[in-house]
Amino acid sequence: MPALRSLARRPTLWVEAMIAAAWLALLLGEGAARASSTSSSGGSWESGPLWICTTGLGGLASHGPHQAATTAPLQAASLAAGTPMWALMAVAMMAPTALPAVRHTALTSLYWRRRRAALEFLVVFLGLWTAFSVLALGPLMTLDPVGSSFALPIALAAAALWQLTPLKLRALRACHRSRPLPPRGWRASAGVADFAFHNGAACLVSCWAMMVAAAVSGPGRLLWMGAITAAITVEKLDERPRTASRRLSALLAAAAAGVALAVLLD
Amino acid sequence: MFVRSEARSPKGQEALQHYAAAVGAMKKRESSSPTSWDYQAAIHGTESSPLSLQKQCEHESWYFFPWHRIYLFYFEEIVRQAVVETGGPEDWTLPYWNYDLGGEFASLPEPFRQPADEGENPLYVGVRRPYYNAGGPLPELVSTEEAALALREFIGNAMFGGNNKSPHRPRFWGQSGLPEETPHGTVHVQVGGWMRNPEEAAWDPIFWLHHANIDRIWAVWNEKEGLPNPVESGWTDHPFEFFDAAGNPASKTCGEVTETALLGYTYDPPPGGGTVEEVVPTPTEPPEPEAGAPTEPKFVGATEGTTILEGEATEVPLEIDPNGQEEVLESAEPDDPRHLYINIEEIRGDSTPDTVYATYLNLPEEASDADYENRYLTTLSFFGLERTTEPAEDEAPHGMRVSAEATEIIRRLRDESDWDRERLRICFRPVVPEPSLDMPEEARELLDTSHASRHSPIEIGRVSLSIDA
Repeated sequence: MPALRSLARRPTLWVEAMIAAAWLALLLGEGAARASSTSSSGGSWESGPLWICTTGLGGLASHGPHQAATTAPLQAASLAAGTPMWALMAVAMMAPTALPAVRHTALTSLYWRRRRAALEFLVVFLGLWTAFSVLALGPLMTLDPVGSSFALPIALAAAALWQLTPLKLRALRACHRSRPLPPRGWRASAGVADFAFHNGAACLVSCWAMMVAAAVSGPGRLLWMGAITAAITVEKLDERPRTASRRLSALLAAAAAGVALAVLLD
Repeated sequence: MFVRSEARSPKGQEALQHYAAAVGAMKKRESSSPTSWDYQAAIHGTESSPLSLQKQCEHESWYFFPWHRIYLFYFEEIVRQAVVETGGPEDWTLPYWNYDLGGEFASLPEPFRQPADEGENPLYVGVRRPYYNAGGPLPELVSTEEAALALREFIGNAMFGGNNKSPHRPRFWGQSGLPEETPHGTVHVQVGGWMRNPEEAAWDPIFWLHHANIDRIWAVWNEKEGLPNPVESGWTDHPFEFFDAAGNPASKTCGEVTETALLGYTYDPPPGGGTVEEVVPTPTEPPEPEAGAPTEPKFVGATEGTTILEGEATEVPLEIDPNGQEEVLESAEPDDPRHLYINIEEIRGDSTPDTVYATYLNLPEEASDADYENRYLTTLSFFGLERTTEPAEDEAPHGMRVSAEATEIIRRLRDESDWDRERLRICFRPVVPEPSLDMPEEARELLDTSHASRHSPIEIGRVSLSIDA
């Protein structure tokens, strides 16, 4: 029973439940997409988690992204309809990496506003990631090369190189910084938003390249998303930023080489 | 069993003579030799590009005590060999400087001050604060170990040992145990010169006697509290590597150094009481670990905005939230198991200032001696601040944080009808030695010029009040 009581007291319990629900939704979406692809062309890059987006677009996206990109209004509609999917991806992939910051925010806020503070943090943090996804990843997905088999190894190789840049290291170190949280009123909310914005921006600069790789990973996307989420989470948990980023760079480079080889042999 | 003696005891004074000769010999060795003075000092910190195992000191975490114990153990072996080489005894040990004894004990031992010539005296360092090189005593708020020994937990809210710092456990602040602040950090900052900077501190020969005393305080506390050291494998199995007397790499884990007996030495008087002859060189069994991690405190109030310290007295109001005002009073009841804590959070600054600050709650404008005593919370040194905000090597940066228990003070304020349920006043006062008749004349003359200084701003992001959950 003490274990249960301890679990119930966890200030991040509801966030962890939300992350689990997001992954469940992605899995269900994958299943539904596979079911529908058996009756159509199947195997195209837009299947899988994008199912939620494509469902939102009705029959439009089922014709593929290239046709959808042919006219500006259709593209805008595609981006708007994709927002829930990108938000879901942000919850599934980036919320786990933010758990220490959410926990810190909750525990250093006044006791009776712990949940509210955690929610405020997540709204800003995930809002940043969703905005990045809609405005950057969304348009990227409409480009022709993204459908190519080499998109994933190129993205993984680029992510491996990004890991070695000074800007990446500075951003990863900044992910470990906190900011003072005022206790009450609008200042408390503003303080949490300020912390979440700076933490989210640092996270974005640190991890954007890996998110691009996840977005262009094509068939088997859920596995790639899971692996990249785990990699980013472990990297952000590590108190030795340089070691962590270099280790992950090596992993990404090995993955890029492996995928490229598989494509060439296919 | 080796026995470390107080620097002013007859054995300590004899050990200091040999120490001076050995330090002189080590200073002549090549800097690249692991047994040289320069190399040993740089293991703690260095402004230059670090060589193997250099710039490794651990502060603001639960590794502070074990890292420094292992550091001193191997350093003592190296110095002992140099002592023997310079004609000294084979059972030489590092003396400790117990400034908490007060009186003459609170001033630098004479061999570190006289002769005041770096060429002639290997223990003399000219860049120390002139007041201390002239024999001035440390203020009691700087040298006291009383608050440190009153702590109950190694890890907790107001703790002895510092917060959990495992490689895969993210933390948003570095928090030292209270002894790391007082007397450790406060003595570092007050002595000044190299001692004020973690990158230079170990070049001052007094550093090692100061840390022997900090090590003794850990041993005394362990005897008093029954070895309540961490039992997590991230602490017990964590190794630290140094060089032994032969200059070869050697390592020990934190779990291997929880008692001085495990390393074959004790202190005179022994930490557990009695005489040195009665000390049995057999380690005792640590207590069974208690289940569960320490509970997180509930925050019930905090300051708004940043507080800046620049060398002058500063006050800041801490508003207590209406939802928590009753709970604060309940927690201050003598039979209530909960404790109240004041947390000084998100401390940032470019460098360690040369001023330490005593912190008080609700200090009146015309405070009496009793007010200063009854409303005293803790002393802040900010030692190693630059390492926390811009850490060396491959470490993540953090804000610094200090927590001190405030239950007794708040109970007294309530009993003295000086309790405002809506707010507390947090008062920071620079600590300056008081002139006294038994102070050396030269030190008294240097008192004003030696301590009056402004410094680059120290930012305190928030001061908060919390209660055990």
